[in-house]
Amino acid sequence: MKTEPRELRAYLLGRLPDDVADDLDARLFSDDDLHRAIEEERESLIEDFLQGRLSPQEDARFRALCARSPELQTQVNSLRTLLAALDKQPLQNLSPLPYRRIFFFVSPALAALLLVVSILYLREIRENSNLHTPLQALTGPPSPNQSPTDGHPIFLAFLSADVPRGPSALPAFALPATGSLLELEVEVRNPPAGDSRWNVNLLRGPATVWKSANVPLRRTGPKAYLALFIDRENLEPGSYQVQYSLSSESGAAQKRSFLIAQEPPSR
Amino acid sequence: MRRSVSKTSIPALLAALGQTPEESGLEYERLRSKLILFFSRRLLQFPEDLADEALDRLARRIVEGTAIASIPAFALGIGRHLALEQMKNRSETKEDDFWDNVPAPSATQSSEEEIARLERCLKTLRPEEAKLLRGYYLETEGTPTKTRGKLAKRLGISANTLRQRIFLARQRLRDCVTAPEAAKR
Repeated sequence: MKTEPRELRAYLLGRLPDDVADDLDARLFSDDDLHRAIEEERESLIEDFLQGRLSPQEDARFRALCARSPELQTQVNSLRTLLAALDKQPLQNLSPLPYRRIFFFVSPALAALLLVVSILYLREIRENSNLHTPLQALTGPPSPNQSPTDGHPIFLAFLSADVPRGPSALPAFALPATGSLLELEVEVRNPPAGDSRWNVNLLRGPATVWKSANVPLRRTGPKAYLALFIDRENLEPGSYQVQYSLSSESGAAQKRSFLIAQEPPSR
Repeated sequence: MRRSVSKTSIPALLAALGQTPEESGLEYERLRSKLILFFSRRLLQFPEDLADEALDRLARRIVEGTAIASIPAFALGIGRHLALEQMKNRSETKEDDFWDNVPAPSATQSSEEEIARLERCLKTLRPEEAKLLRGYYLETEGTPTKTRGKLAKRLGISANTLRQRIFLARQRLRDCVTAPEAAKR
């Protein structure tokens, strides 16, 4: 029994009625073809998300899925990187066989002229192709500091390696009432050379309130940072500790503590 | 972070899933993937961890000697119990509030180094494979389904075959990107 892609997408986004979703759950575990179809639809969903083709409601739901699933985040990042890399490749169209045959029969002089024009055209394309293509614009954040659903800004904070230790001198961040997301840039001391990925846990007391796997290290000049996007619902006022360690190793984690306070809403 | 199934019950679980190590491994990953989809559509936190917990419980039942007619169906049952436990814990947050503060994206920009590494790996593909990837993902003539239908037709292959070729090309890219030599360049 074939299931429509629209229904599979609604299943993935948690938008099906319970009875229909429960039925799909049961079929998923007994039907490997359905499993494959759902995985293909998820791949399509990731692509539509990156290309900005989702409706606002679907976009919000997908972001909620990403926020809860490190593996899904990894898949999104993987495809985003592929699309960016493909966009930088020189333009080479797939030549279908009939066109090759037509070209073969054109006279030598016309063929030489077409060849020269093609080379000039390709050179023009390469010179004009840069990082600010529509694809780059689509794969970047849609609005750097805006949530797609409520327009509330992202609140940016830095945990520098130079911050003194000790409970009396912990860095404190006041999260505005209107902020729905904290972008926490954590400076990493003595990172390994080259690219690296890190597993990150955020703890409030003994409890893990947020975590992410394979967070890529970003470098800005001599400094290196991990960019953590933590939604507000995980940030009650209080004391926090972020622990981070290399994904590829099982050594001791680096730790950094900070405080979250809340500003009263402005009138 | 992936929580692994306890070591004492792994062999019993794998033995129950297949006759050969390859078959068992494939079945294990397939079952884990299904559990992740199951938990994910309920918007539960860390569906991967929940899937591993479900597999751990399944493995323990096998070690205990529980008669299981169908492992996937049994895994689904365990998943349902685990989902109820999780949703009970979540019920302190009122259902209406859950969507009021939809988390903003955790998306990050791909780093220049990641893109450069992938570009180097694209060069290791056969030229037709690289062009196929570009045609599949970047050509737009209406909807993706329509574009890819035309692409498949142009190449004289079915849509399924096109998807398989893309899957294999991406698999090769993934292997290249994660290889130690790629990181050193």
